[in-house]
Amino acid sequence: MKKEYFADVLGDISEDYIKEAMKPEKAKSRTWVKWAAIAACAAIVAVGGFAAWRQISAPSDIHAGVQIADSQTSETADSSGIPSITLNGTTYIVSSHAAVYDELPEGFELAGEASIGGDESYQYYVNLDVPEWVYVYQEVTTDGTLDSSGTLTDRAKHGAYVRYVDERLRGKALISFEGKFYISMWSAEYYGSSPDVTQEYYDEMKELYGVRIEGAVPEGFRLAGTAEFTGEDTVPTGELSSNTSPLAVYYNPANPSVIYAETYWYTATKEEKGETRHDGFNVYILYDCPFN
Amino acid sequence: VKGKISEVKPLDDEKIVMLYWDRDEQAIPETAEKYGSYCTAIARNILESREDAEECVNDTYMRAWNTMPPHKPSVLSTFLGKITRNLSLNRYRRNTAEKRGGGEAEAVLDELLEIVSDKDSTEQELYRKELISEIDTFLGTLTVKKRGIFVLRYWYFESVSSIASKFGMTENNVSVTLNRIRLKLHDYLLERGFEL
Repeated sequence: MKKEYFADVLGDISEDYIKEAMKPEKAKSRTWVKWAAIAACAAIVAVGGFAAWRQISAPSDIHAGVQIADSQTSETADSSGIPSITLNGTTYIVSSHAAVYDELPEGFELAGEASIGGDESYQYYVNLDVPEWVYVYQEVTTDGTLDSSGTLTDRAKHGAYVRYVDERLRGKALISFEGKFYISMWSAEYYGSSPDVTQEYYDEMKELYGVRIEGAVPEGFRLAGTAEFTGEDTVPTGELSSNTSPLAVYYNPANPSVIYAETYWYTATKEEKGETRHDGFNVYILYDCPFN
Repeated sequence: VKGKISEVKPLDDEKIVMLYWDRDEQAIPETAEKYGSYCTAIARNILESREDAEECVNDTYMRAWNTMPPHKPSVLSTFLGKITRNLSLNRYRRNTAEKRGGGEAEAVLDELLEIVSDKDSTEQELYRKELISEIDTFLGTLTVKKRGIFVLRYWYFESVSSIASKFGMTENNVSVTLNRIRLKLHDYLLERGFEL
């Protein structure tokens, strides 16, 4: 028996033993900063309020044995194993909103082919009016509908148009307010190949305002209104809009560097009886939006 | 103007799993908050490169997102840990194929050579379940401490020195204990007819 195989087998020993072995160690630290890193990579920002959900074929289908089609185009997987396509130096990562369509969305036109995994070739489509998106026609696997009882009806493997989003936009919660762009502290990144902000700025803003606050909006801030939802993966534009959902936004005319968006969340720890709702605000900081 | 960062306690596992089932993005930060360091520790034990380890942990969340639903793990920590362990071992293999090995994994895998022959076997998949169940039975015969030492080494890929400090033992003592358990396990499985 191969040692690697045996190591795999040992991976499946009783969960009780795995848990038991960790018992002496109890310390756990808060690691939300790590989450920021993860937020960027994870496939996975929400598919909120939907009746049907779809899942794009596993990245393993795509990122194994990636071939570069030509000097301008390459389809590959980014560092986190999520499918991505690079066109003229811009990297597009598969949408975190599982944007998969049977029909090619309007305005997009065939622009070329990217070869994936040797022989297979995937067509991609662009729209000059929406340079932050690219659609790739590819095979998708688990693609089904979820009924009210939570039962998923699968669809067989089939071709579909999958949206890829500029990595500088993908998964970023943005608000446009009075012509300025704000990015959620949850999605602002100061690292990676295309950081949103500098680390100095990020650290400073985090120190001053945090990421999310609980309770009332800080003094001096007043309601700007409810941001218009411009759609998932979009760059919000206009007086007050958001690309995550319609949000109540608070601003302080004397301090344009930060705005607050109303939010709530739940906790349910052992100490609590049932769920506790928390009301508060996500912190959005002024930033230099590359899509401005 | 200064807001205060809210102190939010980690969610119960059941709640986190529910977030996955609800396809709620919050599942990821909650998972990272609660189990990020746990998964990172496993990946770091197996992989020398911090970058590789981080990628495996990120992939763990994605894998979790893709498997829940329909999966509903009873123990979220070990469910995630197993994914991280698998991904990290796979990455390790790829790296060694590219001659970029190293790390604790190499030492741990070499120690396993005292239990198995490292020869290819075609039938092993057929009795994998039985093998796991016999290993579980064997581990059940050990004291909690010895079992802990074994699991930390061969499941978590912890270094001998780290195990030693956890149990207040000398490194030599840990090595000797591991050595004895390996031999016992080897004999135990051989007696039960497994082709090692």
